[in-house]
Amino acid sequence: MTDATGNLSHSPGTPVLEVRDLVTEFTTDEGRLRAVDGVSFALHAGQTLAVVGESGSGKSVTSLSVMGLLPARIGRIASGSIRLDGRELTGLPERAMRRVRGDDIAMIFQEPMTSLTPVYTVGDQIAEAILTHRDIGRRAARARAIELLDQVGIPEPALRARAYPHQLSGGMRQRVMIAIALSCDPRVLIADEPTTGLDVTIQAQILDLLRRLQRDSGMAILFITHDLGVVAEIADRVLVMYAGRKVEEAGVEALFATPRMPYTVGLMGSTPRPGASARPGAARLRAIRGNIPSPRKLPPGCAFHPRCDHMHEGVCTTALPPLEDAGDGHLVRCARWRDIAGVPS
Amino acid sequence: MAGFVLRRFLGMIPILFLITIGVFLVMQVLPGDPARMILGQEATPESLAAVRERLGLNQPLHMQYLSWLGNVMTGDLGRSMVDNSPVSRAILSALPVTLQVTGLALVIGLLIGVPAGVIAATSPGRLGDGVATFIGLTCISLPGFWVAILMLYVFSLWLGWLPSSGFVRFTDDPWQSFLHSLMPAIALGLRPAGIFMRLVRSSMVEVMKSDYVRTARAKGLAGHAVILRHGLRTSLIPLVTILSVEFAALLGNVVVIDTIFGLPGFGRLIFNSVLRLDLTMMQSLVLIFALAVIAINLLTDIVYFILDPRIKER
Repeated sequence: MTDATGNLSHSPGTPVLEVRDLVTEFTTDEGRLRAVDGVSFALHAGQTLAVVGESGSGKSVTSLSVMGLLPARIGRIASGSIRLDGRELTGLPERAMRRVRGDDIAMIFQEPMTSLTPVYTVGDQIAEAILTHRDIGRRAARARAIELLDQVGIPEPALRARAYPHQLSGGMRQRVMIAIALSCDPRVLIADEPTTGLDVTIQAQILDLLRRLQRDSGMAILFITHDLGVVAEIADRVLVMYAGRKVEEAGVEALFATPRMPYTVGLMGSTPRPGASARPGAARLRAIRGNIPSPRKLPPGCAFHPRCDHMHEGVCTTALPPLEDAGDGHLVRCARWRDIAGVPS
Repeated sequence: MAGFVLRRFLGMIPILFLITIGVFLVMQVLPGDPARMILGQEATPESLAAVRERLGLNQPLHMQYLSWLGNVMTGDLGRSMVDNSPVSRAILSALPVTLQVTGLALVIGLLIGVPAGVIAATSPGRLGDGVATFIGLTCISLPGFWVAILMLYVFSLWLGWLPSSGFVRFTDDPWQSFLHSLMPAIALGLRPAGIFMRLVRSSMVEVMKSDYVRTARAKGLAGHAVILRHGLRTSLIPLVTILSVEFAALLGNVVVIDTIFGLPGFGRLIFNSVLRLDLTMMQSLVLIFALAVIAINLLTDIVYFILDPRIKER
């Protein structure tokens, strides 16, 4: 059971985006807390890496760290490295980071309904992004905005460019957000739950659109989500996060075929998936008991042990298990993965 | 746009009508006999009756109202009960004074309040916020008349920079006119400044947390572009509302300020007419104030319309 069919970890060439041992901390009234603790991943051109986890797992903070959009004075990257095409982004002054943001790395968000400024036309808001990064005239930027609206599948783009956000539906607004993100041909697109809150049919359209745009432009996508159904749709590789740490990473097919970490298994068990009955016990929808721990009081050892069915006192409760390679770059952080999978150690 | 303005304008006609009735009735229930006011305590019953006849005071109420309304419509607000001069002339002479002083007061309020609010909102919980909030609170707490007297003492008496009283018309000497209205405008404008500051701060703190400001940042916009274009621009909408309310409040405060600075504005007209029980003058002033508030509201609606595209749908 170790063959990882969809494994893309050994993609050729240097990654577009490489995050290594990222630690992001927040200063709160009750002291400093770690929202992201030692996360690493590599993202290659044309590839989609999905970051999966419950809310509070640190997946959004990871994306905000990459964007340099952590809340000022509260959040900071404590250590680690974020490299874009080999260029270090951590510690870059704000002015330089601004040139990266929206140009090399663009981002779309969860709430298309509220993510556009209500008082400007969508055409102006797209043109604004272009004018920020490109040395072109207002007229040319507006023409490009209309082109982009056409590219993201908005009918009558010239007319819609003059519309205000409130005149468009949620799906249309997310398309506008995508148009803004694409306006400067980014190398990396970070999509933070871009389909959450949209109708299922619209969700599928947006995912299709992202796939098509990725195929045309070769951009890399970092896709943040809690929805494993969406992961199966769009990801090449999946990173599962729990309590700020990476607990499993594998190619999408390997992960769905043989999830190693009990948490991942739990996530899959709590996601409705037709035709997923191949796995024993997967036919019934099961919730993972308990809640994700607060980063203020993480349990000792494996942070998941209080919720885990396979927990062994003394094994899981003492030391943080290391990230191990279960074969073909399928990484898992579980002290008992061999026992659970029946692999001799 | 034109249709919108016309609709709003037509919608105000019934309100105007109700106001005229209200103003007329209030004056009727006020104590004091106008005829006796004019002729004095020693007047004979015959002369009192003659004056009542001349003023139409012995006619039925609705007839009095209609004839008054007819006169008002043609711009005739009647004659002062004190010196028999046309009320409309006194009002036309006071109007520019009050408009200039209150207008300047609002400009001062905005010039202090909006930047202070922006500074406070963009540095919540830090020094800039503390200083701006302190200034805002001070502006609201200081009574206008006290500030007025203090300024008179410092700028007129000590330093001799600014004239202490009187007024020069803008058409006669713009600079002198500005100097004469500066202290009254500051005294009037401090309270609105504080209120604008607090309003801009609170609405902008929320806006800066909004998803679209995050989008603006994600685009790579410079800090000032995020703050002004996306943060402040949407925070202006509630400011317009409070602006109209504050203007109405200013009209009330001019009584004290006109008296302190000896300005020949509405404040002085109100003060004198109340002191002398000049009913025609009071009636006209109340009417003019009501009209001014209505006009401001219409203007507010139009500014809303320009500022917020979402209004066009309604």
